[in-house]
Amino acid sequence: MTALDSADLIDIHTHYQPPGWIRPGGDTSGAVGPEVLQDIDGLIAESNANGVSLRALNAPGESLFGPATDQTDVMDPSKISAVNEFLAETVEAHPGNFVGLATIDGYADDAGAEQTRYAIEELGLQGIVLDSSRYDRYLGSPEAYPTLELAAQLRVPVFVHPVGAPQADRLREVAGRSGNSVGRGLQNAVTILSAIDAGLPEKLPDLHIVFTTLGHASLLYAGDSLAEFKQAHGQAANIYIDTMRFNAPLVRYYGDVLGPDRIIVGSDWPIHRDASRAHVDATLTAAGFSPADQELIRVGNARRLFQLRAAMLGTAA
Amino acid sequence: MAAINTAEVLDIHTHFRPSGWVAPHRPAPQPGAAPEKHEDLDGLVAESNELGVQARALSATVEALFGLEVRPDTPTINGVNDYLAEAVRQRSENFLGLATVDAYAGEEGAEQARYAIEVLGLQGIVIDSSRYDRYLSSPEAFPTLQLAAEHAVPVFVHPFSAPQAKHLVEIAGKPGNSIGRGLQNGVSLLSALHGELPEKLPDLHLIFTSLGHAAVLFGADALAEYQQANGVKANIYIDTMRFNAPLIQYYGATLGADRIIVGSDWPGKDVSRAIVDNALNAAGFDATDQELIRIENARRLFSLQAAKVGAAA
Repeated sequence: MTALDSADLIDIHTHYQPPGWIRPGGDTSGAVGPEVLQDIDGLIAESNANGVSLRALNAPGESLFGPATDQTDVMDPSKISAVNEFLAETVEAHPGNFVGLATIDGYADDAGAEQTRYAIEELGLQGIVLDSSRYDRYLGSPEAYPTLELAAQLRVPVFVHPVGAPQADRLREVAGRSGNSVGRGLQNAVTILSAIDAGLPEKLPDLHIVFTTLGHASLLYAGDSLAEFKQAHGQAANIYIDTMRFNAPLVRYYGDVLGPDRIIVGSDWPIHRDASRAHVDATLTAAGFSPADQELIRVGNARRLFQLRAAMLGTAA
Repeated sequence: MAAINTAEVLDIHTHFRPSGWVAPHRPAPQPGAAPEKHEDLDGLVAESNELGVQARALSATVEALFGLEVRPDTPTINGVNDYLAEAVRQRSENFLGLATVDAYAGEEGAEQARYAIEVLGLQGIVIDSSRYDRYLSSPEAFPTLQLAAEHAVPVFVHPFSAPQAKHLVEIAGKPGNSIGRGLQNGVSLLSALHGELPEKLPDLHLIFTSLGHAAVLFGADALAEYQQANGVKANIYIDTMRFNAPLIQYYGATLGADRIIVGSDWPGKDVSRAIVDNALNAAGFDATDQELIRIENARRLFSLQAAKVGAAA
């Protein structure tokens, strides 16, 4: 039995940072310092204490390399490889606690696909994490297609993380921290809308995209397209949302719009350190989900996504 | 204000345009062309009566009339509001009027609002979510908002095009434009909270649209803190645009049924008594809460001014 088989609760939205990491330019700004992001043992202890069986570790490109508006801010491929090698070692050392989502420059055309191939086929990582946008490109942009196509072929999930909006500084000035959050939500939402607009669910039916609660506004605008997809194909598009902030009425809304089989627990640790079995259960109960649906959201959906590749290869996960 | 007294449904999000209006940012209509739907107010009356939406609050935003960047002069704004006041006077069984105000024009905005409310007798104002890169918390908006609060008239805060709108459409199609407009509407709500407008202007009543609903999540903590500190909810409302039942249920669970008001975005979107009832039933509201959302919340807001005048008399 693997850790995926035995897990009771999987958090797909957990961040880390390789030891000693310094952003290009020396920028160390961030809501949480490296002493927390780099403390893997501390994370394991916290997870065990809170009943979080398994976490999908990830370090989005923006968090490691800073924001990028043009190709001069390219993510150094050798550093990406080193980051993913560290992640693979960490997951290998703690297989009962972690799966790993490789850091990928998803808007680097074939280079992003090569990073994905290395991380999945050679390092054995279980999925990838992409910025919602980078270099002013989004999931529907041609530059993202090689990475997404390969992720679909390899049957690994793609976690799409929020990034700062172009006008983030102004949003913070006029609305404080929540202004920044709503701007990051815009980027997360727009990239999902761009994926739908580009027909990715039709072109890449084995692509599984997980986005975050920050981007939940997209559901209002994507509702018709997602309903049309479901009617035409007899099943929901493979687009998932996490539970970040654990807002029960909002998670209920996801259930009504996307269905419980498209919701996955994700907390945004350590920005939010509120993932626990008790908190997850309280949220899903308050949202009115049945025990069967709660299990899907808590563990079943993530388990299914992370076992797709093993199922394709005919091996145990 | 006969419309509000007897109506069973009020739509707070209905647009009009002065007959023959030529917007500076749009091509002039062809000579002899039929008036567009939102210029035909008699047609709107007939449609409203047929569909069971007895009352509508008419509005024309600065953005819709003048585009994104023009700074309209006050005489032109007053002319729009003169037209609206006359249209409402002639059809008082069906319409209330939200005056067009350039809220980000400092004291000029307040003067436009004063003329519309005090001289013309209009019942509220409509403002863009942002303009000239200013938002509700910007100092330039305060005089207008202060005057609205002093007169106890509601302020309808309408979505506005995002700075990167063209790019959003390129990458995500029409929904890209909508979500950009939603960003501006939502940021405006968050800006109001960040600027502590509920504390500074407790008689200010702000109504946002469903396009800006993302702000409900990000503003939740500030709204809860306000309620705990003041013992009452902040006077922040949201409309029902798009009539998405699960989303309206979410508003009910977070903001409460007493902070939701029917609003359709006519003529872009349809509304009828059946559409409203179906959405509110599907959202699980009981009969009392449905009545709040359908008519009573709006009735309360549009009665505040008269109550204030009566109290002062």
